[in-house]
Amino acid sequence: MSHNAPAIEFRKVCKWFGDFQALAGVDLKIGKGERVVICGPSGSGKSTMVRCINQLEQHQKGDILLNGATVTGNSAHVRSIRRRVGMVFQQFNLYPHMTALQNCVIAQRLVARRQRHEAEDIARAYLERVKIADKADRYPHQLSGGQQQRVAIARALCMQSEAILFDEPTSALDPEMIREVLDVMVGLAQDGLTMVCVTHEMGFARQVADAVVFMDHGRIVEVAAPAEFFKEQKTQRARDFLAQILH
Amino acid sequence: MNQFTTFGIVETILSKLPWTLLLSLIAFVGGAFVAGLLTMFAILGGKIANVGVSVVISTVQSTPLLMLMFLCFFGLPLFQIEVSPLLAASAALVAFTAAYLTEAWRSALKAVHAGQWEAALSSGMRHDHVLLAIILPQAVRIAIPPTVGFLVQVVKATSLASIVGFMEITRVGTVLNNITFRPFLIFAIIGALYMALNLPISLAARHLERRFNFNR
Repeated sequence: MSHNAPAIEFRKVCKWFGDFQALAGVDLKIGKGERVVICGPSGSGKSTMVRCINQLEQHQKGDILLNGATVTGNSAHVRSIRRRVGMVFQQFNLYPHMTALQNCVIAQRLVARRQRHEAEDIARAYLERVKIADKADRYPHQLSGGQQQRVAIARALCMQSEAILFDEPTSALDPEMIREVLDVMVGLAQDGLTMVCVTHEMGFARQVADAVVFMDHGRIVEVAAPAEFFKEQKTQRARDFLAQILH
Repeated sequence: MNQFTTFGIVETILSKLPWTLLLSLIAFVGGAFVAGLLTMFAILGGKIANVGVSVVISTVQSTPLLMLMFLCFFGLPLFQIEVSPLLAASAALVAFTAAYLTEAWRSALKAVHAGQWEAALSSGMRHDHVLLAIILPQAVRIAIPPTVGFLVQVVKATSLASIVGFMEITRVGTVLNNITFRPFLIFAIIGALYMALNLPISLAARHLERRFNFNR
């Protein structure tokens, strides 16, 4: 991974919510095409860390670089960063007044400025990719949670961005729907997409991650390849955490 | 002195019905227009604009509509502004309607889940595009039932214009009553007219509420 220039780089990033320090000096390099899984107890700052990449949260100290350029700046600059980084949310956040297809088309039209037919072709291709093309004309409330999340993934893919951030993509799903979403994500990982994924799905981490990042109290406590990380944790906190979620 | 037959009373009251309708229409359309501007200003204008709008709204809402009418009718002439009863009543009713609708619409916009903003912004969309394409269509669904429901309040509130001498159905009723002294007949007819106007609106509001009550 060192021969890759970092796609995303954190440099001593700090973030406070009022008096609460959510990120306490985060340093991390994520190479192009790398898949990184971030885990840790709740409140450890993993979601905040990911949301700082596309500036849904603003960090107060340090810097985050996307392909060498800082993500912070005026609103036009932040939009251009967001254009280059897709995001998938825990709660799907599909637009309820639009069909699955329209959900995938809207940002292509307004942000990427694609023609309608082109945007729709791309949308159908990615809906096919997440195996839900037959539901293109359904509204979100007509779809199951797993189907909604797959549409949300297609929506992010449609922007053909350089990286995709996943913020606990399976945490709001019923157990029987987690598999279908993870299968789609494994497929994406094998295609060489840069992925940053906050998740507790350790099976997914084992299967596709290049690195597992373990966070606690706003700090990165361990970074290791999954094989190492699951075999032997360097810290007691990581051991306790794994013991809790693996049972 | 009493030259009014029952039919004559009904006819006289009905002849003033268009003024009640006109006043309702002015209040609702004017109020909606002002509310639209205030809502956009509050949402897009930053914190100070938002607070400013809140202050205006709560000032209007905590004042009786009657006082607003008196202020418009008796107050404006002090600044050399000539006001007819129609103008004074319209101004007060527009303020009254705008305050309520601004509150309702702003709340509807805020009621749209924050995740909708985040999803749209994270795709690189401009703030105003997000508002128009993503947030507004959802907010409209939330706002339609209370908005239509409030129309009932507006129609009833036009009766207060009678106080500043505007000749709508309530005013004509009080005049007729002074002449004929048949209050039960006159005010029952007027009450029935308000009901006839408002019942369809209430039913429409209920229907819309059911229709737009979509949960994702």
